[in-house]
Amino acid sequence: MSELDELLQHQLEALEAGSAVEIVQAKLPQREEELASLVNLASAIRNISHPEPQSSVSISELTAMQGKPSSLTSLLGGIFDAWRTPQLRVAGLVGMMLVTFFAIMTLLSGGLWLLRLKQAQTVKLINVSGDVAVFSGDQDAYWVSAADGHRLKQGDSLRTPAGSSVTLSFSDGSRVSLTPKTALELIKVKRSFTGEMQVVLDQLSGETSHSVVPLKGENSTYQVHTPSGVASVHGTNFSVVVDRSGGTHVAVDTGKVLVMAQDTEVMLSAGQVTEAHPGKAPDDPAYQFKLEGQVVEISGELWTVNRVVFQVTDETHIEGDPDVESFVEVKGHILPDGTLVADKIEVAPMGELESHITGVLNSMDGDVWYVDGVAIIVDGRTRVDQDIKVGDTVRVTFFVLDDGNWLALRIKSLSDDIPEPTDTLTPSPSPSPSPTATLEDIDETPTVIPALVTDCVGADPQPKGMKLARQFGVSYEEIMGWFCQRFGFGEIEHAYTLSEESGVPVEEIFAMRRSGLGWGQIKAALETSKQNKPDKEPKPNKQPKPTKMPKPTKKPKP
Amino acid sequence: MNKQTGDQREPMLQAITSDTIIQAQNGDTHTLSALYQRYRVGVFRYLYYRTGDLQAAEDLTSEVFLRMLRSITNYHPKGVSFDAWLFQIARNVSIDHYRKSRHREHLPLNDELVAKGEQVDHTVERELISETLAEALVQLNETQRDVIVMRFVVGMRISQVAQSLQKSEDSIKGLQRRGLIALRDILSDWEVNYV
Repeated sequence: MSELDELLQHQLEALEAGSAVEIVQAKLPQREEELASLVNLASAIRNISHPEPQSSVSISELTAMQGKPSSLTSLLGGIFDAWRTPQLRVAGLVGMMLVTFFAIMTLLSGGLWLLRLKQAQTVKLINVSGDVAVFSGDQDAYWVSAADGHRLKQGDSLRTPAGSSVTLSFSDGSRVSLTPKTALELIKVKRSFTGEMQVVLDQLSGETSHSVVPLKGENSTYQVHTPSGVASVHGTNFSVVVDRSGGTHVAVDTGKVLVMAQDTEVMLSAGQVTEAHPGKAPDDPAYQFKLEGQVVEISGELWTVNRVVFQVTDETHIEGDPDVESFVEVKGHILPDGTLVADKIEVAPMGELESHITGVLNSMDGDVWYVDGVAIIVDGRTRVDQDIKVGDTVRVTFFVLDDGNWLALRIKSLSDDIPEPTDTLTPSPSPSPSPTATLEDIDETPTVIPALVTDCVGADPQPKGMKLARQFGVSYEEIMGWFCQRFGFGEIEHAYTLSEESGVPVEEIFAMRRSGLGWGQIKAALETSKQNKPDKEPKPNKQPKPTKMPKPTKKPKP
Repeated sequence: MNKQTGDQREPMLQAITSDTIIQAQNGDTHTLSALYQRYRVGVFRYLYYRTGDLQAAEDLTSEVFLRMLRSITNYHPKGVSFDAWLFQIARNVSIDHYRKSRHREHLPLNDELVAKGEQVDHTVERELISETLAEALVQLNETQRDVIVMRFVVGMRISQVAQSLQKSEDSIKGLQRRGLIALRDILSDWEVNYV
């Protein structure tokens, strides 16, 4: 672009902003008199009388025209010709009534079907509490408050400030609940005619709980991306917590979840948890526990809550500055030797002292049962699932007695507890009322969890992806992660090159691109930013590093 | 026609909000009607200056909004602005129109317009009117014409034109200046007054 192009555009913008032509022209440098004539011409084009459309059909007329044959006029002409014959008037009248009736029915059913299919690609907000904000992603959009019934689509984001929460309801009955201070982006929400569901969420912070009905078809997928990994499921109940450092805590209530990070995959079964931290492989699966109660003692790394002693490590995420006598909620995992290790401690409002652990039922003889080596008292107050047996994975809700023993209040088998698909919407040609999903009542259908399904890679491994990974010294998964976010390989190469040149993280460059900026604008912005920065000592060459890990994809096959 | 008193035309098209898009995608008739009313004239004028035919522009305008209705659920605001997306449709409709009618891409000049061309009476100085502009625009290449019409007739911003024509903003600025120069020279040859 020449300076003249830019100078002309500058003057035209002044014109568009309402400046008089003479003033705009007067501000031009003397040597650029030629531009004055162009400004004058542009103003003249804007101000002459342009033609107006003479006929104006309404939008409803246009809607009615959709899908109708182009020979509509001649068809109508034929009908009116026939109408002139008296003998045909009665038959014509009856015929027209029938045609009108069927046309209305077809429009109604077709319209409803289209509406239902359209809604299948969206997610409905329910149980909105507080000031939940949504962002629809186009470049001039802004965060807006959402209410119950608001629909989100692929590409939209939402966040729950302190004191706010919301549940997302998918068309297949799956649900995601967001606790306060959670940010989530809907990377992909797609449902096919055959009911195959593809959901990819990007959780930037906070805590989400997922109830995913088993997905139909091999192309279905449900993934939750976080700054430190990906959880991929095929029908389960689980939760994801992202802490301030980007660490991710995944806990599975029912079903199975595949957690991937740093080329390592960990399969979690019901009752298990794992942690993944940026740049590190996920921890081995462990069974989980939850405690609610008052902190009665803090002795170094050992805390006591509700008469239960657990360990606090450097990786324990603590919120709200709890101290002795604080009422807290503790979530953690159980080591093979039975030690309880806290993953998260947060100050909670005073409530019922509900605590639970999960694990494998080792024995169930007499009044003392063992779950992963932990003794649990079972008596007449204990409610036990029918058909429970040794070897089952169970969740034990317990109460700590005065003597320190744990009394089981409820022992629930988690082995086969997977939600079943209960569509809230099934695209079908005929309109029919849809059942409402009630996940609480669902109780069967074991699901085999397939390997991560990624439908955006094509050839495996993708040669261009491999080449770029080598070229920029990053992982193949990182490159393909961007590719799966619909960036072309040319764009990816461009972004990494700009990142290397400018030192700006490649993540930020992709974010600029997403915002609608052209590559020329991005380059200019990076150069401006570079010029505006104070001089610093030159740093050794570094590979560009994203501030947030992109979505990993399938690993290349050897 | 005095053009020295600043800009008399209606304000530039402002980007519509995501809420509007969501409502339109949900089939809200009121929102769809509002979008139609808002963009109908701009789309019509764009098509008029591409075809040079008022009736064709009327028909094609309806076709543009029919296509908008059919495909608005597939529109992703993150990709391009709604204005750019709609004018992409308009451009495609115009191209299809020429393809179907097997016309080369030129204006169907009527006798009056032809008379304004090579055989123009150089002794009579004329004012710039829409018909003259239409004939002059056809002398430009297609992209320059699109840029001039989108920028100064429809009132789109550089970024919107860039998105619609799938070119960089720098490229559009260059096309804008070269298009204005070419148009100025043509009007000057025809002794059309616009000052």
